[in-house]
Amino acid sequence: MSSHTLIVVIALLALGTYGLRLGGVLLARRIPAPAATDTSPAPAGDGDAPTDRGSTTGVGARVARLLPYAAVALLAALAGTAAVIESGEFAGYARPAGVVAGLVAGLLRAPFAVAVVLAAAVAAGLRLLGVP
Amino acid sequence: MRSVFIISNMRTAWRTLGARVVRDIMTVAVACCFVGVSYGAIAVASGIPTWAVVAFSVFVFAGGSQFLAVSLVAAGSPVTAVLGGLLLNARHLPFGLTIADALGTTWPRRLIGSHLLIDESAAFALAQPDTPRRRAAYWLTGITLFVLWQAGTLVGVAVGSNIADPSSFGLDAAFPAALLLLILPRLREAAGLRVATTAAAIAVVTALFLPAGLPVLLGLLGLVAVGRRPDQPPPASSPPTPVTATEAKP
Repeated sequence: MSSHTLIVVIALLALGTYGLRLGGVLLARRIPAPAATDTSPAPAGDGDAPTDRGSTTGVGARVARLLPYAAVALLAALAGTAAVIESGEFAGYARPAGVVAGLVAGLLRAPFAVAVVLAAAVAAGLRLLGVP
Repeated sequence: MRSVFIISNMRTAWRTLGARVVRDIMTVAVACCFVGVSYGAIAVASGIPTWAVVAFSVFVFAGGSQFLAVSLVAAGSPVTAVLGGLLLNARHLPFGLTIADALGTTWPRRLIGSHLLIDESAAFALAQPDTPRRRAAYWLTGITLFVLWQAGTLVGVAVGSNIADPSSFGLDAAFPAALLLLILPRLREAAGLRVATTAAAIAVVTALFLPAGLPVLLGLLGLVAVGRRPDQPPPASSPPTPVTATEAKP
């Protein structure tokens, strides 16, 4: 492959990716969100937040209410596929086992770092034992 | 100049976020650095020239799409490399929509901050309860991971194909585990859990037959599980919901 082609590939991928990133950030300003100052789902449980959102009607309010969950959906989808899929196929047992170990550690309130290292260690350990 | 900026940024972040969150970010950054090493090593091993391997890391700065693009370019399909990489990175648009306030309100911050929008910076920002802390978490994660990603890439290029397989260290399990741990507080609320499990199920099933990138976007369909109304608000007197897994600990 020529250097020229490679430069074009890098430039298109870089510009397109940057466009997607900036596009989302700029589009966010157009959404009339009561959640503009606070878009996390947790405050949705605060006493006053639902009233605020309820007072805004129409598509904007609906989008504003769903947006905080969009990142949760994307991250969960990303985590799910990264945990069990490799190149369109089942990634084997060691990796999801490690992920589950890390998740359980987190649920048991282990520190983040410990849970992540445990996930890696369990996956690596199972592979050492011959688990695919 | 740049390092002074990073150090002062770190001090501010330390004060704003607290030692635990900063340590969590550093943990993910180190793991990310090792993934960068494997990227650099795999890329040079597949015959991509060093300048291009580094250019991908600096200008694209999105690990998954870099792995994909490098393998497709090496296989002689540059068009698929661009389209596949962009499809994989399309998730950054809804991420940007969700955490736009974490970048800041000035144009330099929006323009530079957008380049630092990655899964990890979005996830750490999302885990923070208010805009100042979201902002600190976003920038600290973005800048640290950018620097370490470049460093990892260079080390990977240097060591070549010797440690090309990140799975031997279980690093492939560390990434999804870290993502789940970051949204763990959301999983403790009913709507968040419904959304997350629906999204993950849709993505995993569709990933078996759809090209990379599309399944994660289809995960957005999990939003139907939010329901028409937000969850029952807790009594006003109750303490604020713990927002990160780490903050919830004593």
